Amino acid sequence: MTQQSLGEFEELVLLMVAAQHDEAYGVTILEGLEEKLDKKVNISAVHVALKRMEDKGFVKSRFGGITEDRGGRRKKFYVITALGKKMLDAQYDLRNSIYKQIPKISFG
Amino acid sequence: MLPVTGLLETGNYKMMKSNPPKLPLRFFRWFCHPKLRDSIEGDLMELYEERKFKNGEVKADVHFIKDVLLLFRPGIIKPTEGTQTLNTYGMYRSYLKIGWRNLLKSKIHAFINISGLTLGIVSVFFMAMFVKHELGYDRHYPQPENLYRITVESENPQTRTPHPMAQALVDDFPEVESAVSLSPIWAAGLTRAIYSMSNPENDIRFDEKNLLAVDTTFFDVFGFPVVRGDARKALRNVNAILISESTAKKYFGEADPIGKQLIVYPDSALLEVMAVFKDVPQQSHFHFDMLVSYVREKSFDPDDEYYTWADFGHFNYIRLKPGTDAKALEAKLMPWIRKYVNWSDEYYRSVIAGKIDFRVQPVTDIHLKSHLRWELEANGNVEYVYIMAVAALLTLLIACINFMNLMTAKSVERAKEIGIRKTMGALRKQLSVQFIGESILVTGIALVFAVLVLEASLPFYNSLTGQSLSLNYRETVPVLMLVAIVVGIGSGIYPAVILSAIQPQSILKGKFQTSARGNGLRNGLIVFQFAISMVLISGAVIIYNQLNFIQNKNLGFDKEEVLVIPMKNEHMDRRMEAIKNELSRVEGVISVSASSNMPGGQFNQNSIALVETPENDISTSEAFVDYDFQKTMNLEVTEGRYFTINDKPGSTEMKFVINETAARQLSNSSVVGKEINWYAYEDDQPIVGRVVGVVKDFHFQSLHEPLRPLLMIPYPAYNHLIVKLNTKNFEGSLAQIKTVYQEFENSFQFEFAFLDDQLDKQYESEARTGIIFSAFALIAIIIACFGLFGMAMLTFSQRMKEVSIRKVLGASVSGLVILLLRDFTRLIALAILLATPLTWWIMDHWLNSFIYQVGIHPVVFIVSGLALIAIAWLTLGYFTLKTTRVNPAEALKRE
Repeated sequence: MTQQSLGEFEELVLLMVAAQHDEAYGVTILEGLEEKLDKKVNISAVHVALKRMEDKGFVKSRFGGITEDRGGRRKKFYVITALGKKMLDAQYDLRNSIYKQIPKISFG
Repeated sequence: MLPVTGLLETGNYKMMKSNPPKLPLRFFRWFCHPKLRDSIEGDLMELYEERKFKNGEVKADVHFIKDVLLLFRPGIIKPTEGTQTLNTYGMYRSYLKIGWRNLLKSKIHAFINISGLTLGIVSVFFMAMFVKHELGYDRHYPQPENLYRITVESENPQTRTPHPMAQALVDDFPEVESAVSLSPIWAAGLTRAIYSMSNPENDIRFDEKNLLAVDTTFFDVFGFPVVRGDARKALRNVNAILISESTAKKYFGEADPIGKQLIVYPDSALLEVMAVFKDVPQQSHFHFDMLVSYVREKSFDPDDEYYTWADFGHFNYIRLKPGTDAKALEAKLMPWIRKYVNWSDEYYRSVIAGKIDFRVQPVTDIHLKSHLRWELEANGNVEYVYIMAVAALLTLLIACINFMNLMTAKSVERAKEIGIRKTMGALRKQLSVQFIGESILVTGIALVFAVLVLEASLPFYNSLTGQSLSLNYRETVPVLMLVAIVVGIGSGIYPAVILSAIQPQSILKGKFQTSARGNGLRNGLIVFQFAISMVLISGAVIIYNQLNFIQNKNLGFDKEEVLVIPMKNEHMDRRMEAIKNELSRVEGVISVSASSNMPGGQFNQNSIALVETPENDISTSEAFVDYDFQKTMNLEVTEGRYFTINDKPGSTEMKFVINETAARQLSNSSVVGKEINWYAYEDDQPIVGRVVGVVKDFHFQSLHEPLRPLLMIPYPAYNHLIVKLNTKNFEGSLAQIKTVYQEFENSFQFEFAFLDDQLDKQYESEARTGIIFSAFALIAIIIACFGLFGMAMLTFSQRMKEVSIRKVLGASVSGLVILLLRDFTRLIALAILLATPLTWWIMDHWLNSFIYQVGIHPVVFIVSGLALIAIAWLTLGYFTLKTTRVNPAEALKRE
């Protein structure tokens, strides 16, 4: 398997895409992230991350119907792919396994 | 038909609906990848609406712009190679790539082309700067096209006309808007008077010679900007002086000079500074640091004939009303002037018959086209402008020819590329564009180098021409770029036509060998290049020959080891004997004399005639000399005797010595002992004197002029001390001479010059042309030899097999060398043959500006031709040896 990388922000976006299954597009992802992170996120960052992950094959997209409130632009909905899910799982496992190695020391 | 969401239906939301800022939106649409554009734009819109609703329009706008700008990053920006855009971008990129690779592949050819074009562009730049400078003279006045000078046309035309003429022209001709009369202030013998001036407050003292007397209308006519004071008022004041800004600084520093005084020596007169004008620009045909009014000059001697119609001794300038026909005015002048001068009908007829007439000369023409007697300053020469321009353009042409020749000669190497491009569907037009593009690329690179070379060589050029050029990038770079493009197209068009015509079938079949059709033209171009080189070399040789000739010609007097010391103080004339006595005691001094004029300078002119035949009056130059002049200058007396100490005027009758030309023109028989009339003042009684002797003709004027009559008068009105020296201990002698001089005269600075140096100055512009000509000759030969080198590299490598076979069959190396050199030598010989008559014709024309010419000797052409062939052989030598030394086995093995 080729060594695919996943940046920190990309990972967050990917998680959000997965969480908002089939309802995720630019604005919802942005708002979801802002809410969870409790800080301002820029839409451009979201789009760049989405484009990169689409190129890597972690997400795929489909166009939604045309709505008036977006000035007639279609929404681009993102769904996580199997590869993307695998990547997330791998990341999660990695972190978990290392986390578990932390000796039980009291930081009191 | 669109699904409408519930949110949209809420009334006020809809009412507030408006669009985000247009410009960022358009920017976004332009740069965004088309695949992402729609969805991202949708998101942006949605966010915008939401923010506007929450935070107001302004904040939403700001946020929108910020988002757009942050989206401007790789990943979002569309790739420059449009995914589906139908353009020929890729094709052009391939052209550039191939062009660049070709440059790198044949580095020697690239070097030849680029260095040649660099030199060519540099030459053209200098030429353009020089021409611009020369053509830019006298443009600094307001409406310079309406300014004219009145001159007199005759067999010996002159600049000077009578003083009252200016005012009379304004009075009588409505088309003359204003007029001014001006003149330098003359010491004896039409030599500019030199004054010593000082600021009495601090005793800062300088010698001043750039002083003019002018009419009150001076500033109306010329419009020189006045910085301080009232110039018009100042010019009406007898005791006023007007000075330039730098002169003001010199004497008064930063203080306000208005109202300050200057003491003028030798008379210790006090003048008040009443106006300050801007320094006269360098590109002006006359310069002055100080002005005084004619009112002042006239006040010394109001009845002096010098200020009347009788004396043609002033410079008159007029400003015409816009649109006036100057030629029409010119025709009216000669009849008109009779109103003011009492010429008899007979005299007037003789004036007309003598083709004497007034000319109205545009001031803007003076610098380049006017070479009359008594110019205010030495002028430029339009011929040298042409020579420079032609030489520079030819140099560039030689470089362009190199490019054409190498490019077409290399067509064999490029043939496959062309064949494949054509097979792929390239049009001939596109291929032409490709090759022209390549040549523009090469000239573009040359341009960059040219700018670097220019920066490095400007100081040298400035010291050579006495100009102060600097590279003004905003002004010159666009021009140079235009030159590069024109040169690129010019030198690329021929190869483009030839190369793009190649038939793909023949190339790809492997039949295409050499482009024989281009050979004739290539040879023709080589001939042309070397013909130009030949013209430049032999031209330079002839110029140097002529310069050498005039510098070594026997002028009829001694010019070596003769020291000329200006005598600036006119009161020194009376103490002349004492000074001479003192000086002749100095070690090394052989003899001492004094005169009003020196050979090479300008001379005053009046008429003389034998008393017995007053109708045969001749115009003569005149000089006031003392009785040691002949001995000091080593003049030869052919008849009678020279002056002695007893020939002082006043003591006995007036005595004259004249030169042979004057004697010949006065009478067929001997004139020694006869009385002559000297018409020193036109309307007054002539001065009568006896000719005591005749001296052999000597060249008292430059060799551009024929020998003219000369009258020598033993009158103490001197401007120069002439010291004949033995220069063995020059430093010691000079120091003593200086001491003696300063015992007599302390208000002026002591200066000196050698007579031969002064005489050489007359030929400064010729010497400069010689340098420029040889510089261009050198550059032209270098470029032409570069080209020859490149051509040899190509043709000799193509003949490698031929040479190898000949070697196998037993040809000797020397025979092969001759074989290889023969073709090129033939071309160069042809070039020499063609160039010789052309050079002959051009240089004959140039030499005609000298009365005394060296003549063109055929040896010049033989020597320059042989030199050219030798240089060509040296250039070809490397490849000739390389080719003839080839190991036949090596060369023939490869198939």
